[in-house]
Amino acid sequence: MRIKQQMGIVFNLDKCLGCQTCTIACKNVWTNREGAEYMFWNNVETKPGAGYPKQWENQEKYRGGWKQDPEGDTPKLNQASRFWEMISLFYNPVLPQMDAYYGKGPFTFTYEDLHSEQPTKYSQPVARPKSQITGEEDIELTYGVNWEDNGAGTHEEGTGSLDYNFSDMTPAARQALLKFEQSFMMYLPRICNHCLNPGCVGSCPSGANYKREEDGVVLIDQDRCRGWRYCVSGCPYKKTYYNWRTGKSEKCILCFPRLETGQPPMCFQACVGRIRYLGPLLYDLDRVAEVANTKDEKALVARHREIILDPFDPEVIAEAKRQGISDNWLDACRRSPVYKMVKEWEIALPLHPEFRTLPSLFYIPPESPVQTAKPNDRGTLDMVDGGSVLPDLKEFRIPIEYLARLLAAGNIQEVEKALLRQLALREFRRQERVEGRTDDSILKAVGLTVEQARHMHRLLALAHFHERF
Amino acid sequence: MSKSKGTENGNGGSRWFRELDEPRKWEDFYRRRWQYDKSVRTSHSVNCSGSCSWEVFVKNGMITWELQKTDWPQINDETPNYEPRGCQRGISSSWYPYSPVRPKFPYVRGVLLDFWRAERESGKDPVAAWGAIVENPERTTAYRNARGKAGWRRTTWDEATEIIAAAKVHTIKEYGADHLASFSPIPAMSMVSFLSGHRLSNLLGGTMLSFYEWYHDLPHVMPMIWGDQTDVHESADWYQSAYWIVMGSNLPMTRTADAHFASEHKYNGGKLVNLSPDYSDVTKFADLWVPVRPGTDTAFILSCIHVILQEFHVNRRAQYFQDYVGQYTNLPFLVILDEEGDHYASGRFLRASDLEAYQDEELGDWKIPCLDKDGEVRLPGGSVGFRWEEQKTGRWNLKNEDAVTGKAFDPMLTLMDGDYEEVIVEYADFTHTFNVEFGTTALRGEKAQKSLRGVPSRVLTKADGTKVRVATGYDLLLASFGVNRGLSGSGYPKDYDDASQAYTPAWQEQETGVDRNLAIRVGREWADTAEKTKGKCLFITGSGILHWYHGGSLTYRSEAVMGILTGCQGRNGGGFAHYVGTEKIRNVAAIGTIGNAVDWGNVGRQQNSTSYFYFHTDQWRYDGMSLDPLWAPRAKEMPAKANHAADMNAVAVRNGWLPFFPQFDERNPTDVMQDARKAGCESLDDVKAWVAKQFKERKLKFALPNVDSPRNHPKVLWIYRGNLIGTSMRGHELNLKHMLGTHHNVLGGDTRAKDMVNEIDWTENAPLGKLDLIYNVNLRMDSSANYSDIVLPTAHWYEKFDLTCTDLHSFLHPFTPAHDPAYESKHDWEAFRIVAEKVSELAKTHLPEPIEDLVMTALSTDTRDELAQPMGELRDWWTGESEPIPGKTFPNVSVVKRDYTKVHDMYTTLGPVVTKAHGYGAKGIKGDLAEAYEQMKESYLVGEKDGRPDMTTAAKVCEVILRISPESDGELSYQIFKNLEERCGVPLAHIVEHERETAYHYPDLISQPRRALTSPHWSAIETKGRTYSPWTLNIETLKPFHTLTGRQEIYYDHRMFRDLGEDFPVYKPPVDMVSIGDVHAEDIKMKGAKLFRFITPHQKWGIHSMFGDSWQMQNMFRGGPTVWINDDDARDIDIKDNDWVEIFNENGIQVARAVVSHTVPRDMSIVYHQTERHVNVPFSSLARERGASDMRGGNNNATTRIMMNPATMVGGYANWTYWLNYQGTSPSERDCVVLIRKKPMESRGRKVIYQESQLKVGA
Repeated sequence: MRIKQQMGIVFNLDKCLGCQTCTIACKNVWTNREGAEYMFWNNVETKPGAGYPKQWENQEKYRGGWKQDPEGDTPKLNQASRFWEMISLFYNPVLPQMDAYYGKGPFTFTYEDLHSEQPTKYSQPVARPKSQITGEEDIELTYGVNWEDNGAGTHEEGTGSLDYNFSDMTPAARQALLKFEQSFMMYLPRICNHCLNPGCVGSCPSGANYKREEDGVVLIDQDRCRGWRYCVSGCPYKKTYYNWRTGKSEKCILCFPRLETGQPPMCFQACVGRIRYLGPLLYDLDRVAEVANTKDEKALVARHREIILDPFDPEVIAEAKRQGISDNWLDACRRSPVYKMVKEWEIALPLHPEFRTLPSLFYIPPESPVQTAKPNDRGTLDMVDGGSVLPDLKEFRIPIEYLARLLAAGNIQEVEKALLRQLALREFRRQERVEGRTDDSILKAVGLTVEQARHMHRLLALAHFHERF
Repeated sequence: MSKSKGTENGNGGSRWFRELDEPRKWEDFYRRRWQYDKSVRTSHSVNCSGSCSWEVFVKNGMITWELQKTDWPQINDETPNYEPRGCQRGISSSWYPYSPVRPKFPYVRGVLLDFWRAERESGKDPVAAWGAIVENPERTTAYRNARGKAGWRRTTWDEATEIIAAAKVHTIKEYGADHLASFSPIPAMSMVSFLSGHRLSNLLGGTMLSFYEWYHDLPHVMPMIWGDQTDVHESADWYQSAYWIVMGSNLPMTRTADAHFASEHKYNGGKLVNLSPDYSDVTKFADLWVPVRPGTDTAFILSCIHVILQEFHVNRRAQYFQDYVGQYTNLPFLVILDEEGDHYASGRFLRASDLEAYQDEELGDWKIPCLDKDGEVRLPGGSVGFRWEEQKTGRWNLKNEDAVTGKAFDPMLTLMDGDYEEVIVEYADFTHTFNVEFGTTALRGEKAQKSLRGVPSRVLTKADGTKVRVATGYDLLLASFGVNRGLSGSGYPKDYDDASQAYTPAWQEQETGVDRNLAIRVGREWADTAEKTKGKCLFITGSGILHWYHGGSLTYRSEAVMGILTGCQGRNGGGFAHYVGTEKIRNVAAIGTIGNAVDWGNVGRQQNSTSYFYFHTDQWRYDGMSLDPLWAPRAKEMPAKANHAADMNAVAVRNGWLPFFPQFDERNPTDVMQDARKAGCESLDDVKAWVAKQFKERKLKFALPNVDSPRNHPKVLWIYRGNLIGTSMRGHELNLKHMLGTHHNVLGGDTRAKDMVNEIDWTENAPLGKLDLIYNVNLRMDSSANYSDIVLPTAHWYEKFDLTCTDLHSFLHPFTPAHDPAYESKHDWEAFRIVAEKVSELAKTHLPEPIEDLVMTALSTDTRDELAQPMGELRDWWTGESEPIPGKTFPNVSVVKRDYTKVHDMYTTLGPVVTKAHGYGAKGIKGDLAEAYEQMKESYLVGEKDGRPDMTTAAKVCEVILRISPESDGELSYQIFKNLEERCGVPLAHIVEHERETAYHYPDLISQPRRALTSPHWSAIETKGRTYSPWTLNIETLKPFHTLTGRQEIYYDHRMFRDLGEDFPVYKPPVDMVSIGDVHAEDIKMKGAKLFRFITPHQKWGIHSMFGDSWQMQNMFRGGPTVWINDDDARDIDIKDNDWVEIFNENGIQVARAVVSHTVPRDMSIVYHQTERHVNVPFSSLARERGASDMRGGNNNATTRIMMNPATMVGGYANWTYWLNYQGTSPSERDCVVLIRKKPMESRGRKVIYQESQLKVGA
C-alpha cells in the first residue's frame, strides 16, 4: 500500500445555479491574457448539450482517456499506441479546432466607436463584434463557451443531437426529450479533475505534465512543455488548452498559489451557489492501475471508492504516518467533507468514470421537477394527508439513465442511491419541522443514521466557508 | 529524486509525480500572477439587490480583479450564511475602470459645443449664451437631431458644468424650476451617490423623478394592503420556510447571490413549486413546475385560494386561520351593501360616524366598526382615524378590544354564525374581456359580465335613523371566490369541476392551460403546511408577473391574499416576498431628509415618472386602449369621469391624487407667486385660497391638459447612476421621436388615442423634441450617454466612498476606493457639488435675491392628507362636485423661499430643520436630531462648516447617514419608538432597549459589515439572531399597519376599486394588444412573420444593461441581442438557431439573433433585458423598407410602450395616498405583442451590416 495525498473535490449539482461566477473568477486571474482568450479552465455547461469544446465527451472523435486492456493489468491510452503517437508527432488529427470552441475566436467589440468625434448620419454608433484573436471586425458569432446556456439551440436539430449522452438512444426517443413537454436541463460545472490516473500525464511526450506529490494537483511545467498537444487530446475532458501565443499548453492549476496559503481556489470561493467542497483524501497508489483497468464499466464507481482510504482506520493511520504523512494532513482528512460525501455517504460520483482517469472531482446528482403531464396526476409529492415529499425517481424530468450515463458509466443504482439519500434527508427534516416528529425509519430505508443525516444537512445546507473548504 | 508512476502506459518521458524537494521553480510563474499589493472592501452600485461584499485587489497601483469577501457576521447557527455574496456580473466589474466603454473626460456633442463657444466668444454671459441657443428653433433642431449620433468633443469640467449651470439658471428664470428634472434610481445601491443630484434638484426646486414604480418594481399591493412602500424578507429568512411558491422571479438569474437558499431550504425539508411559462433557471430547482400560459398566473392562484377557502375555512375551520384573519385583516369589518335594482353590490365600509353609539368619536369617518361574536357592534382601535387624532389617546393598536369601552371581544367573521338574511350580491367576471390567445379579441375588448351570488347580511340602524344593510368582508370574500356554503345565486359553481364560474380549479384550467388537479394540490399543500407550521409558507415573486398590466394590482394581490388567509404574513419564513429593484433603503429617514433637502425646509417636487414620460414623450397619443373592458358591469361613476388612461391621469392630478410637473399651464410658478402677493396674499392660507380661486375661475390651469405646448415642456433633465434612456424607457423610440427630437424607427401613426381622449388638448402636429438639455453623469457610453448632450465621467464603484444596503440581507455595507477616481472622473457627490457651485456663482448675477416658489404637490401618505377624501368617493371640483380646497379636494399648495446664491452652502452642510421637535423621521414616525447634530460637528469623521455638520465630501456624508439613522444608532431607534408608544398604547421600545449603546460608524463597516438594528421605520423584529421577516413587529406588538383599518386590507372599499370590480382580488386576462392597435392588421398578414407574446425578463449576463456590455458577459452567451423562441414556432417561419430576426410592431423595431430552444413554450418570445443598442446592433431592413429615420435596430424597448392602469392612480384616501415611489402608475410592458420575421439578407450579401459606409439608403 502506497498512500498518496490528493485534494478531493465535490460539486453539488443540485445547488448549481449555472451563473458562471466561477468561470469569470478563474478567467480574471488566470486566462485573461493573449493566447489564453479561449481557455476556460473552469466552465459551466448546460446539459443536455454539446459542451465546450463541442462534443468533448465523444471519445470516438477525440480519443481521449484510457481504454480497458483485457490482456494487461493496466489500461491503455485511448489515444493510440506509442507507434501511432510517434508517426503523428507533427500532426495530431484528433485535436479540437477553434470552431469547436469558438467560431472566429472569443469576441470583443469596437467600443471605441461609441466615443467617436465623427458624427453619424442615420443612427447611433455601435460597438461591432470583433475577434479577440485575429482582430477581424464585423464577424459572425457562431459558438462559444456557454453557447447552449439554458438549452439554447439544444432542440433536436440544434446542438442537442450532438450530446454524446444520447448516443445510445433512438432518434425518436431523443427527439421526445428535446420537446417542451418533456424538457429538462441541468448545469455541469467543469474544471480539471486532477485525476489519479490522468490522461494528460500519461500522454505527454516531454514529461511536462505531473501530479504534485503533496496534494495531487496536476500541472504542466511551462518550462518543459514543448507544445506537442498530446495532453490536449489525451485528456478526455478537454481540460488542457494550447496557448497559441506561448506555444505551450496550460490547464487548471487548482489555484495552487492559493492552496499553499490556506485559501480555496478562486472558483471555489466565488461559487455563489455554495456547491463546491474541497477536502483532502488518501488513496492507495498501488491499486490505481488495477482499478482503472476494471473490466466492468459499471463497477468503476464502486472500485474507485475502494482505493480511497479510511482516515479513521487505525491501520491506515499507522501506515500513513510511516510513509511520512503528517498528523495535520490526517486530521484534515478526517474533517474532509469530500470524504464524507464520496466514501461514507456515497452521494457524490465521478464524471464519466468510463474514461478511466479516476477523477478527484465528484458530483452530487441533481433533483429535477417531476413530470406533471399526466392527467389527474395526484400522487407524487403530495404532502397532504400523509403523503410525502419523496417522488418516484422515475418521475424526475432528468431521466435517471441520462444521469447514470454522465456520472456512473450507466450504473443506475449508483445514481439512485445518491438521489434517494438526498430525498430521505429532505423528508426527515420535513417530518421534524412540519409534523413535529423525528422519524428515523425514512433514513433507515436508505441506509442512513440520524447522526449521518444531521451531518449531511449541516454540509449540504448550512456549511460555512470553513466547513466547505 | 524518486520517480513514482501510476499506470504504465504513458509515454516514456512522462512521470506521475514530482515531489516537494524537486526543482519546481517554474511554478512561481503562476504564484507571481496571483500576487497583489493591497486589497479593499467595497461593493457595486448597480440596479440590483446585491449589496455584496467584495475584496478588490490592487497590483502596481492598478485594479486587477475582485473576489467575494466571506466574513459576513453569522445571524444564527441554524441559518446558512450569506457568504459568498456576489455573482458573475459583479465579478467582471474590474473590467470597467480601464475599459474602452468608459468616458474618461467630460464630453459635449460638437454641434452644441460649437454654438456655445461661438456665443461665449461673442462676449455673452453664460446664461445669455444659453438663451441665445435654445430660443433659436434652427439651432435646437440641429443639436437635438444630433443626439445619439456621436460627434463628441472632449472638454473640461469647467466648461461642461458652466453650460449645465447656465441652462438651469436660464430655465429657472424663463420657465420655472419645475421645468428641471433629475433622474437617478435606487438609493440603496449607493446612498451618497444617489443623494447628490437629487439634493441639488430639490434645492433648486426641480422635479425629482421616481424610479420604483417607473421601473414597474413597486408592488402596488404593498402600500394598498400593508400601507408601506415595500417590506420583504431578507433571503436568510426564506430558509425558515417550509413551502415556497416561486412565480415571476427567476432566482438564479436575478437573485443569484441569494439563490443558494432554494436548494438549502429543500434540504431543510421545504418544497418548491414554480409557476413559469418556460423551463427557467429556477424551474431547475422546483419539485413541481406549473407551466402556466404567460400572464394568467392570477387565475391559478385564485383557484388555489378557492380550494383553501372551501377546505380550510368552510368545510373545516382551521382555528389558526380564523384567529389570524379575525385580528389582523379587515375582513371582520362591516361593508354596506348598495342596492342595485333587485339585488345588491358591495359598497363602502360602515363607519363609526354612521352609528349613534360612536357619534362622539373624533374623525368618526375614519374609524371602522365590526361585530362581536355575540352579534353586538364594536369599534376596535387601530384604524387610520385613531392615528391622526389631535391627542395621543394610545388607541392606535390591533388589540381585540373596543376602543371606547375597553372591553375585549372576539370579532365575528361570518354572519352565518348568528342571525342573518341572505341577499343576492353582484360580482364581476372578467374572464372574457380579452382572449388569452392574443390577436383573437374583438376590437378593444369585451365588457365584463355579472355573476350573482347569495351573501348573508344584516340590517342596522344608522345614527340618522335610516336603515343600512351590511355584510362582513369575510362573507363577501367567500362569495367572491364562489365558495360553496349552500347559499343561493346562479353565480356559484357546482364544484371544483365546474368551469363556468370563477374561481374553480376547472375554470383556471381554461385560462392557464394547467391541469385542475395541480391547483387543488398546491392549494391544499400550502394551507396544510401553513396550518401546521403557523404560517411558514412563502411566495417569492417578482417582475415576471409584476410587469403585466394587471400584475401589480391583481396577480401580486392574489398571492398576498393567499398568504394572509393562511396566517403567513408577519411570520418568519412565511408570506409575500417580492424582489424587484433594490428599493429597501434601510436608512430611510436619513435618505429622505438629505435627498429632499428637508433639512432646509424644502417641499420637494416629486413626480411619478410613468405619468411624466407617458405625457412628455407623447406616448399618450399612441395609447389605443379604452378602459371599457376594465370596468365592472355595475360601474357608473368612475367611467363617467374618465375612460382612457390619459384622462384618468388628468382627473387624478387635479384632485390631488397624483403630481404633475411642470405645474401651471404656460406659467412660471414664481411669476404666479408674485401675482398672489400682488393680489394681497400674506399668509400661506391666503395663498392657498387665492390659488384655488384662480383655478376655479379657470384663470390658472394645470400644464398637463396642454402638455404639448412648448412652454409646458420639460427643459433640463439630468440622469446619473441609471440608464433612463436605454433601460427603463418603455416606448424608447417614441421618446427619441418626441422628447429628444432625434432619429427613430416608430412605424405607426400618432393618432391611436385621438377621439378617445377628452381631458388633454389634441394638437395635430405632435412636438418633435422637447428637452433643451439632457446631461448624464456616467461611467459607460450607454444609451443614456449616447443620447445626452453632455457626458460627465463618474468614478467607478471601486473608486468611491459610499454606503449600500438591500432588502435581501440585513446589513449595512461600505464602498471604499481601491484608488482615486481614474482619468478625469469624479464622485457623483463632487460632480453635483461643482454644478451647485456654478449655479450659486451665476445666481449672484441672475437671481441675486431670494425668490418665492409656489409648489403644488399631491396629497401625501403618512400625513393627515390621508384623511382628505372621506368614504373613498371622488368629488371632482373641476366638474363642480365640490369646491377646490388645497390639501383636501385639490393638490397641496406651499411656498418655498429659494436663495440660489446659497445652493452650494446648503448642499454641503446639514440644515438645521432636523433639530426641531418632530423635525426628523420617516413614514410619519418622528423624532429629532438636536443631540446628534451637535455631536456630528465635534466628530473628526464629520466636522463643522458654517456652524453646521459638514457634508463637503462623500466620506463625511456616509458618517452623517449612519449617525442619523435608527438602523445604525440604537439610542435614536429607542427614542423614536418611545414617541410611537404614546400613539399606540402598546410597549415597543423594549425591543431595542439592549441596543441603546450601539452606534455604528463608517470605519466599523469597513472592517466588517454591520447588521441593521430594529427600527421604528420598519416592520420586523430582527434582534437577537432573528432573520428579517416583514410585519413581525405589527403581528407581535400589535402596532397597526399604516392602512385604513390598521389591519391588512383585503377588501378595498374605494369607489375606484369597486367600479373596477377590484374590491377583492379578481382575474383580468392579459391585455390583447393586437386588439388595441399595437400591431398593424396589414403587418399580421406579412409572409414569414408570426405573432408572439413579447416577454422581457431580467437577464443572466447583465444587470439591466450594466455588465451586459463587457466582453466577459458577452462571451458568456452569444454576444449581442438575442430573442428566445420555441423550435416549432421557429420552423413555422423558417428561422434557425442563431439567425438574425426582426422584432417589430407599431412602436418600433428591434434586430436580434434567434435562440431557438425547446425550453420555451409556443407563441412566446423572450428578450432578456436589457439589450442595449450600443453593442452588436446592426441595421434593420424593415426600417429601410419603411423609410424610418433611424436605420439601426432598436433595443428591447423599441416595441413596448407605457400602459397605465387606473387602479394605480387613486389618492387622497388613507393608505391610498401618494408619495414618491410609493404609489402611482407603472408602465406595464409585459402584455406586449410583436411580430417576428427572419431578417432578409443585405444587398451586399451579408446577413447584417453595421456601418453606415455600407448602408445604401433606399436600396
